[in-house]
Amino acid sequence: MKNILIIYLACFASLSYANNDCDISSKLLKFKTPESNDIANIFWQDDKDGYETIKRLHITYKDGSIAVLEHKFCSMYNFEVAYYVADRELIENTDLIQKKAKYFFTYAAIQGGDQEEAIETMAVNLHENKFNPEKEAAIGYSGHHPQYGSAEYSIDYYPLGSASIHKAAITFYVGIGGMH
Amino acid sequence: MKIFITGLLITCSTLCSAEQKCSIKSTDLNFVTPKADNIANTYWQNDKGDGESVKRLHITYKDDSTAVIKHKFCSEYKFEAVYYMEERAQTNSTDKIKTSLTTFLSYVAHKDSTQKEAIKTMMAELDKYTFVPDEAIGATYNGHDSVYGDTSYSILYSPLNYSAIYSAAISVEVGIGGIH
Repeated sequence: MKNILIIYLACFASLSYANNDCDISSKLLKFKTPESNDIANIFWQDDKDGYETIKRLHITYKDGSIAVLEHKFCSMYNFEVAYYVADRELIENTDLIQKKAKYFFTYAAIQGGDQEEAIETMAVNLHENKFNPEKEAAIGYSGHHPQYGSAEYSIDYYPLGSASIHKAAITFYVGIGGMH
Repeated sequence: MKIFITGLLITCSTLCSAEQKCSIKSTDLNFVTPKADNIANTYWQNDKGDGESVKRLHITYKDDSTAVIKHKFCSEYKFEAVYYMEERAQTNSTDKIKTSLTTFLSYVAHKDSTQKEAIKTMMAELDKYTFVPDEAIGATYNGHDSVYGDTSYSILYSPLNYSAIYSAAISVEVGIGGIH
């Protein structure tokens, strides 16, 4: 009985420590589920990775594209979208990429800071770097969030084989707070 | 009224001929919805494109990996599966690729007489490689079925370096009948 009590107390102490150790808890975050006519199905999935909490939203679009929106948080907040398009025309130029970036970053659970400026700057830089949908491209932006400190943004574009189910992949990332 | 009836007849005859043109219909096929302990969610999506029927199955696994299985058919049957893996460490040898090959081929809705030989040949080809997680590997097989005509099989493992969510992809493709 004594041993059980000790084990129980040890577990309780380590759980409390894990919770206290996280600067960002789900209470501080606002998770939004997109609702629009072009969405065929959505599915939320919760997970843990060490101390970090993970919430993933799987979206199937009516055109056959898919997106996974991942929120990962503890000492910092990481938001990544992996968007696999059924048709490369959906993201074939920097204007379309900018629109998609605005759309997906809306679902980051921490808003504010210099998000708009980050998207605009990254889109301009992609354009200046002569974005070509046939080639890989990556761009980043170091910004700031008034409440959490640093905010790192990035967009990565990757063409996939023309015969495959998805014709291109693009990821949108923002990491807020913590050490980068 | 006369024009309307003529229009109606033309539309009907076009639709009827389109239907008749397809030598492979959904009633000829056996669509499998996998059920396993490691699956968190499945979602079927139906579509039409270029006179062909398209059925997509989206699978979300409990380990956060995801897969899309696409059946496309009319004059020929085409099967495509793509499996986005959460952790590249899941694949530490060609064994995982070989398991994926047999698993995904079990979802093919149109069985032909060359599948067994295709699996045997591709397994032997994969065994020739020393697996390196950062390098793409694949295998192919082309055969002939006395009833359905030419068949083609392929598998490809490719590392994904653009996303933090998924680190590797395995794609499996099968074509039966028609021209590949």
